[in-house]
Amino acid sequence: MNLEDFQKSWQTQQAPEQPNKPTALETIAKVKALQQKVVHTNAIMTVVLCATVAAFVFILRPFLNPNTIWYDVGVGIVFVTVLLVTIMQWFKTASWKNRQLDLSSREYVTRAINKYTFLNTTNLKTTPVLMAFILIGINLIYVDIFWNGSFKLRLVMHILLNAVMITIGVVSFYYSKRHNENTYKPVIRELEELQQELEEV
Amino acid sequence: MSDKEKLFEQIVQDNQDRLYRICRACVPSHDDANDLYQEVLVKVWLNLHTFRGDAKLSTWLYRITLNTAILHQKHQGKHTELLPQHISALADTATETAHKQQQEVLLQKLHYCISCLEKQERLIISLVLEEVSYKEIAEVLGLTTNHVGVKINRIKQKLALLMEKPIGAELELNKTDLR
Repeated sequence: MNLEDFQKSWQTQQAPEQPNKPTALETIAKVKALQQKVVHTNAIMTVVLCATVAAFVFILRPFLNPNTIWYDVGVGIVFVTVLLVTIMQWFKTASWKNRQLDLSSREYVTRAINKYTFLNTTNLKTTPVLMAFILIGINLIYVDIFWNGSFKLRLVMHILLNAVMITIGVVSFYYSKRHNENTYKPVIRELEELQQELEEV
Repeated sequence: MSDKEKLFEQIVQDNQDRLYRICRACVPSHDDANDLYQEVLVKVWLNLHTFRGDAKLSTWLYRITLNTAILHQKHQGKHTELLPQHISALADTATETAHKQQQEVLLQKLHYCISCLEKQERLIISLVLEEVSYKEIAEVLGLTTNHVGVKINRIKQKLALLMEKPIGAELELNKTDLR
């Protein structure tokens, strides 16, 4: 057995049938990029969650020395809300790390459409709910912080807090919506077209 | 269809088997190799405009394939070897002519022995098996032709030794005699 035999045998192998049309490849590139982005966002959310908990429990709590149980309830609401969203996102995208991207499979394309639609809807519909819960949580923390203050001071602080949070919420929601329209929607649309093509085949 | 699309389809038609085989050599697992091959096609399409004709088209394609394979292996994080039982299973299922069956067994053994090589050795042998010249391999890898020659001779010896051993003994050989 020499190298020529190896070469002859080796060169009998042929490439598998795969989508190699430029449009399909562009969709693959977009889907892959979005997958990576979602996994990256999940990782950032987890870090933010841990940092928020650490800040509230180990830094703010000893520093503020809470008077009532409302501080802990507020922190609890914020923590549970962020935790639920993080778990939901991870759960929905966990399989991406191990699953091969196969746009020639109808099952894969359908699953990808479902996941992206879910993420898109989650981002758009649950973001206001998430913000509302976080706002409630922070308001409860404020109740405790200004527990000994006058009614006027407490009212002003709550109004200011809500004004700032709502402004931030509206702005971030607007940008998140615009961002989703540029990232998720085109990929979903392309996948739907691909799904239609696969169904026709 | 645009000129770019036409050119791409021509490139794929002319080189798809060769590129796929390089992917197969770089990544032992069949599924991973398909994944890598798909990644290579995506990169070729996305970077087609950067090909200016300074190098040969084949050199450019090999470079993209090898760079993608290196990144792919980094993401995979571990060196994977095929298991000896994969070969015997495949040999049993080959029911066509004796010659074809022999070819299939040889090919599977070759895959197994290549999977026992080091990462860079797999990259180099994949090009040698495609009958790429030493000069072109040196260009792809950014090494001198002499250096590549020395490396190829070593890899050839190593591969010949692995191929001579009965299946299953390669792992031991790889760990003790050759490192």
